[in-house]
Amino acid sequence: MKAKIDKKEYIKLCSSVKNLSVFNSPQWLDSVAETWDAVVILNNTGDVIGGFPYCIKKHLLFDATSMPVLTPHLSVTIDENYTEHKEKINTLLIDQLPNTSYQSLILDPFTKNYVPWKWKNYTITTRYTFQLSKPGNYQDNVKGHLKSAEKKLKIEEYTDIAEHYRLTCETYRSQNLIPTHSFVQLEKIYTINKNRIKLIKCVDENNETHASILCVYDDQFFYNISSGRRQDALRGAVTYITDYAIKWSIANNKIFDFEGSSIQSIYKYYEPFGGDLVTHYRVTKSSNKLIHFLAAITNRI
Amino acid sequence: VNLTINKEKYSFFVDEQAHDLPIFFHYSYLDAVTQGNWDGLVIEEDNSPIAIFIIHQKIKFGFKCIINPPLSPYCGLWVASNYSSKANKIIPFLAAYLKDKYSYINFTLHHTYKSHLPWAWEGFHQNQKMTMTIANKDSDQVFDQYEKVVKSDIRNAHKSLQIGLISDLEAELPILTKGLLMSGMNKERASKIIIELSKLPQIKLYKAYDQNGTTHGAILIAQDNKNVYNLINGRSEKSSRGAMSMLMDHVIKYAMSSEKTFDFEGSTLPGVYQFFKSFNPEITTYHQLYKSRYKVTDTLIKTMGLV
Repeated sequence: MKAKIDKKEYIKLCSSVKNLSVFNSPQWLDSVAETWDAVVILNNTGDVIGGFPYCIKKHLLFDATSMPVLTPHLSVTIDENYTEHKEKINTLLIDQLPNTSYQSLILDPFTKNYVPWKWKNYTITTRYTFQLSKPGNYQDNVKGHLKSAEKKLKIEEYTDIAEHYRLTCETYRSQNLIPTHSFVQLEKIYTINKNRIKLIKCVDENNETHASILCVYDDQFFYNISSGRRQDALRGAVTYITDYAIKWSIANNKIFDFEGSSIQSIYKYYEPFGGDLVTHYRVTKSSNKLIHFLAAITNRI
Repeated sequence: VNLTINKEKYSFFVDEQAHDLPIFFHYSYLDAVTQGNWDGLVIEEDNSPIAIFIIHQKIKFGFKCIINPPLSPYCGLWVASNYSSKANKIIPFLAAYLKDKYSYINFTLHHTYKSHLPWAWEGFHQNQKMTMTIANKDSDQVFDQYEKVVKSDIRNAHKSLQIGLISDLEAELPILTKGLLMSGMNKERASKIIIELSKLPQIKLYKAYDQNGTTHGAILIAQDNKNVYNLINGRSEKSSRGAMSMLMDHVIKYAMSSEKTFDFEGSTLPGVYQFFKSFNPEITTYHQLYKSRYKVTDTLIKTMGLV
């Protein structure tokens, strides 16, 4: 086996594998990254058997291999006939990744063995998400929110991405945070991936929108990747849409992924929906001690 | 929530929870590995003990620190099974207590604690650790799942070696202490810990030896009601091919026949990892948590990786 950087071969691999994660698909990567590339693994006869996409961004004076916007994780895609060689394929792929000043990648929850990354001196930290694959065993506070929202709000699937962006910005503003992406970026993501995105909102009797979520799905999962609400949204507005999205997801045989946060308030909001807590790993590496120090003091490790 | 250092109450909690509690929390085990240099922090609610935390204190550069006792891969907090839903509520009180009393805290949670977030929310940093385990296999069939090379090594070793319990511990100390000496422990202390451990009913020591009685490899396992842990293993310089694989197979089968999980106490060191991996175990992760009371040292420890 050998590794090389070859985007075309990666695209070819993606067209032949089953259950490709939406975030690894060339279509998604085209929409979230200005430029991206991929490392691929070839077997002894030159066929592509594995691949890993990456995206390099400029941060001040440094170049960094990091996650594209609104992309919760990336994974190593392996041809199903070569899954028993997973560890070797991973090791070769990691070796071939460009040696940028700083690398920070979030691996998908299926990647349980982080040892090949550890051997290459990556720092491993754990992240969490909640996943629901059967009707929610909601706690009382969720039930209370739903009861309250059901009386005054109704759910609609819609297509106005500008309205969704406005609501997410309102949420960021209320928490004194800066949005992680621009409207232009979100519009591009929505336009390119329309066929696997659901925009859901809830409106009151005057047709005023109170909250909105954007979910993206593939064959197995339904990911909640962006949500926003009016500052004066009625009680239970976001819970009401989330419940709708969970039901849609289960009805379509998909696992609902909250894209859970390690932030205490968000974690505590998702937890009562009764999903399974699922871990995944963030791997980081710095090319020198100064960058490592800067990354550590800014909590990027 | 009330927190008190009290070995008597700790002991009472251990007796009550013995069916679930990992051996590393047992009074006698802690006495053996620390020579009695430990304390038990008991967390009570309405005067009932609901959790314990092991205090193994060391003074480093004049600072009071908490670290794991030797040969204790899992340590720190243990919440009584009937109070497990209260774990997240206890942690803020416990973290505040520890940060107030100690300059540096470093411990590893048992792998049954899946989320480290309640600790992270209290400012603790996390380091991901892993081990490998084999569970729920028939002791007669577990061999079939090993990799070919290991199977062949074991078959080969059986031709010239036998396995038996260690009766003359003094003679086997050079092999058993090897790993501890490599980790920086002095010879006298390493020997003392092994001798003290060997007196416990939960500890078993096996050796692989040839027809001349020469030892080729030795292993020390510890067990509680649910697990068998591979704590120490070593081989002689001229050991036969497969001696360690044969010993490992023996203790894995022992764990399976006792309906317990075998824990390799896995390592990410490539050689050790590949050896354990050849038995085809599951990977199990757990969390190491650490925090310094002072901002400067906390940043330094995190930045320089001085965990």
